[in-house]
Amino acid sequence: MKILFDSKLQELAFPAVHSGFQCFKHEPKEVATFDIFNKINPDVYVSHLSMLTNAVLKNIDQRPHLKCIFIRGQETEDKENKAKEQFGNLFEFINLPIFGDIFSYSKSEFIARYKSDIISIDIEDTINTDKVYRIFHNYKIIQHPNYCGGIDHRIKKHIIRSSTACLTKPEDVYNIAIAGSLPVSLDNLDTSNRDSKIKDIVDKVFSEDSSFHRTAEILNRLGFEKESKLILTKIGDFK
Amino acid sequence: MIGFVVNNLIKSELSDKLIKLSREDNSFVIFLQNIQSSMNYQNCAIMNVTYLNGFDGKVIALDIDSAYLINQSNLNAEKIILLWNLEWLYNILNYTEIVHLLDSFKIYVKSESHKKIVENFTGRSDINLINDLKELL
Repeated sequence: MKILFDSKLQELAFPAVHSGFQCFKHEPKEVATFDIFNKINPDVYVSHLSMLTNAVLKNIDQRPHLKCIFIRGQETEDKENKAKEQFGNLFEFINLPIFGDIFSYSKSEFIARYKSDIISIDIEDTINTDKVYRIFHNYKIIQHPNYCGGIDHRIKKHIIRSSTACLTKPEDVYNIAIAGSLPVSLDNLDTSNRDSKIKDIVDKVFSEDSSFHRTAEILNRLGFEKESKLILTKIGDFK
Repeated sequence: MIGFVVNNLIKSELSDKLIKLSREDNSFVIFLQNIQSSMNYQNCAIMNVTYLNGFDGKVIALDIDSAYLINQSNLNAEKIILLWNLEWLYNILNYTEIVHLLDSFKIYVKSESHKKIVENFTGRSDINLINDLKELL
């Protein structure tokens, strides 16, 4: 079975790859939509509505055997209406609740060299504190004396692990906990009972809110029950 | 022997201080990445960074680029960096690369506020404070 994922849904592709499925990335900036569809000829297409274009619609239309599912994003109502206009109720449109990307964030290591009390990665909110506080942002220079530049994505989870707490947006809470740090927000910087708080979040992710669960749910909705169950069995590889 | 390594000597506060220092004490060498006409006559030896190889003594980087160069050169010298401008505050630099680079250097800064920032950045407690370039000689 060949599964094509939009590039915005890479976190959902990793569980499928880990489970042994053939997965491919649709990123029109790298390979044109028609080229990737013609080359791969996928059986399943998992699409993020924000990446829906006329080229994508045409390719879906030309492949009656193709099973599709559309993931809603922010401000994607217009594109959803366009797709429904063309295909009616043939395909499902779903909201994807927040999930933890255990493939990318688990198995992190504490590196003493990067030890800190609190960090933030790719967010603009800052705090004032006397503790060791490092601000990382790969795309913007934050006007704060504790700004430290950008970090490579390969070392990101180790830097998170090496920090007591991580200032984060709600959608990244699970990932921070999986990497081994306590997610905090501007409203709540309390780091007491850190270990038990992290454990509670991680337990929740592994039981029902991981990328493996979301990918399994998507395949289940498309009628691939056996494949969905297989993906769920692979979560144990990351515990 | 003492050598300062810097990108250029175009008009800046640091260049001005370095050139004034050379008039008081011309015992050091300035290694330049870009040899351009300096804003005033310095009273010490000026060399291109290609002559850094084999340098023996104390070598002082005055910016991150120069520190990279020093690390890549074949030197038998004590490595020092004077963080005159905290470049990561106004450029998006790779944090782990800079931290590893600075590990090879003894770090000096010019103010107490800079010292706090560098201590937070590097996680090191051995940051030295100087009030004048002369203290490095």
